[in-house]
Amino acid sequence: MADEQTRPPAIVVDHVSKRFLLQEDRATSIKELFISRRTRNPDRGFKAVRDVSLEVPAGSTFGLIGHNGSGKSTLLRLMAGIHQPTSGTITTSGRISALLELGSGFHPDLTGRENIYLNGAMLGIGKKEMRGNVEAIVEFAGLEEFIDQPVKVYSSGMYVRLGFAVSVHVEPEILLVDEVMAVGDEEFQRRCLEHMYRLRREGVTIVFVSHSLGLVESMCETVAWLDHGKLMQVGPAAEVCASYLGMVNADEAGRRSAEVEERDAARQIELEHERTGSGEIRTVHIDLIDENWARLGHATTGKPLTFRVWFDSVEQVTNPAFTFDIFHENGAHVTGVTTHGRVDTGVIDKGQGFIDFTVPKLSLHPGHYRIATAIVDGAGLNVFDKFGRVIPLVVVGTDTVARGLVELSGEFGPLSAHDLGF
Amino acid sequence: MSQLRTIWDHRPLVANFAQRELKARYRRSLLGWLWSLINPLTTILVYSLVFSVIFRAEPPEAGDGSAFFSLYLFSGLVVWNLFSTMINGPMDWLGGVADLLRKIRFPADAAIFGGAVSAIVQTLIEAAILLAIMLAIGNGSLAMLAMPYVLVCTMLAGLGVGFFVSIANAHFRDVRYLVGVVLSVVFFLVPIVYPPSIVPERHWGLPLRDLIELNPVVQFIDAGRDASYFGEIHWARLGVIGLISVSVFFAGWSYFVRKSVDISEEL
Repeated sequence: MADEQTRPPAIVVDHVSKRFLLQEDRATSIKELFISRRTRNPDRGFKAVRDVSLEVPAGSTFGLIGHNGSGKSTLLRLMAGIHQPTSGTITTSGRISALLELGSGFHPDLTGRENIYLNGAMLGIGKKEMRGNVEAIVEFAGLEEFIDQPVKVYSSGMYVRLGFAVSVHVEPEILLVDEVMAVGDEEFQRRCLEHMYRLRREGVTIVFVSHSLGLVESMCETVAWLDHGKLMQVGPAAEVCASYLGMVNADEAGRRSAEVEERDAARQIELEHERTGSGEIRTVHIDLIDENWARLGHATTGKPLTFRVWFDSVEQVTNPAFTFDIFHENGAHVTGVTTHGRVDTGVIDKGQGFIDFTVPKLSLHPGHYRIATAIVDGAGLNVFDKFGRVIPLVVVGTDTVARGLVELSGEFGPLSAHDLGF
Repeated sequence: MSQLRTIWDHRPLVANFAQRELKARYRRSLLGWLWSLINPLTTILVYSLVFSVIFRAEPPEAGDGSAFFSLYLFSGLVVWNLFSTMINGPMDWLGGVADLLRKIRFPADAAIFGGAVSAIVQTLIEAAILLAIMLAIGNGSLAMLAMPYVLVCTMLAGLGVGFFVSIANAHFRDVRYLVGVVLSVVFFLVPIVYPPSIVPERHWGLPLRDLIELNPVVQFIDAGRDASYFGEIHWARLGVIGLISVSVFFAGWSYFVRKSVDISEEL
């Protein structure tokens, strides 16, 4: 489309900062106003957005990412015109429809139908014009039965469905969506996405806040990454998502390695009751080790990883089998390995030791897992030690389109197309 | 005057807010809109009893020479009630949309205008009752045609003040109480419950009656009375209230539009 190039940007954010006054900074009575005028600190309040400049091209889908409290939602509200920037300017061109939070813009005492008209009216759409849309909205939201009930009796899912249905049916030129779709059920989320893809095809500019990097990467052409109100990076979706993930992983590593040290000892005692077995030999812990023999706080998908299983033996045992199983935090038993039938562990004397298990490429996808361990005798008759799913395993990754729990290694062959006309 | 354009584009929103106020007013009451008739009628009856039978107050003569103090009083009250509603109302109307303003962008003055439209309905009912009684007792005159003009002027002037007050109240909740105090003082400084003739010409060495006449609110009350009670038209007075109301209204409205962009953070 040639005119895509010539259309002015839908939203121009120019050196925008936003400061919110906190409760204690505010003069709420006339007395305070006069008394505290001189002593007021010009830097008071909370700076939610700091000197952000960016452009949202018309007809593009634009993602805003960042951790909680990074200012994404505030920036979206500034774009929606709900807040005014403390400094800088925001220029928008086109009718803006915003879906900012649960039931945004609904009046609790009005019925669903009345709220549809109210929302239309806020965008300057009259009752007559809106009437044609109402049925489509009600149907999209799946609220035929409840549409004449006051929205205060709605469930959170109904709120969001109605909110989304209204905001996409008012023919917006710019659609601002905060992370709200997560509330609906699978089926509704899918319909929302379909609808957003359709709006995108129709040339609607979409600005989209989400924590789901996969979604952001697949929906958006351009992504901006905010951190503590500052714009860290803006550019092509894949690039920005990758650098964001890089930082998240680095943070996680820093936090976890410190935590791990100090928690290990405490946890050991606390979780002893998860342990069963006759106790001649016990698993103490599992260390995660990278290819340079450095101890890790977390594992990374696709990287080499060594599980070092520490044990502590109080008696001599002969050829015990070491087993560990990995469970996803949702309970799924992902995989497990055992020395049984693979390694002869021989006679283990009293004392401590370890056994390593190395994977060249970790195939677990990012997520939180727990490891259960067991040590049984060679015949599999006596359980020396069984340690329930208590040892945590955190896997992070750089791949944002990870599907399921594990990587299926393999390659696609060349595509071969069959023309039925032959 | 981009604010004119904006509010014109948001007519449906103003209508929506007005409708909402009207629907909410007598929701879940059995008599519903009858209350809008019952209230003013009771007021007139009670005033008749108190002022004609108990106090035996002597009102100025009406256009046809009749002199009902209750009607003299009521003709002043119709205008005063409108005025005070338009000053007090915006605080509530703005407060009523606080939640919406935090979540969705729309011109906040639409809520004020919506509230004003709903409030004027009550005034129209009261004015209609007043004029109907006047016609019924044979005190009708062509001057009554000026009544709508007087009401519109009163509404605009009241709203102008109301716009200022609602912004101030968003920042300092003291304003609501202050307004209540000021309005009740002004009510007695304006000849509504008493005819100006009973005010002493001079008191404490001050030209008291002239001072009272200087209060611009008096012009609105008197203009309403001219039209409904005395059956006279004073063009100069109508011109004065027109000027006052338009300038106060636009001053207040512009101030509101400028200050209300960030108001949701304060409400």
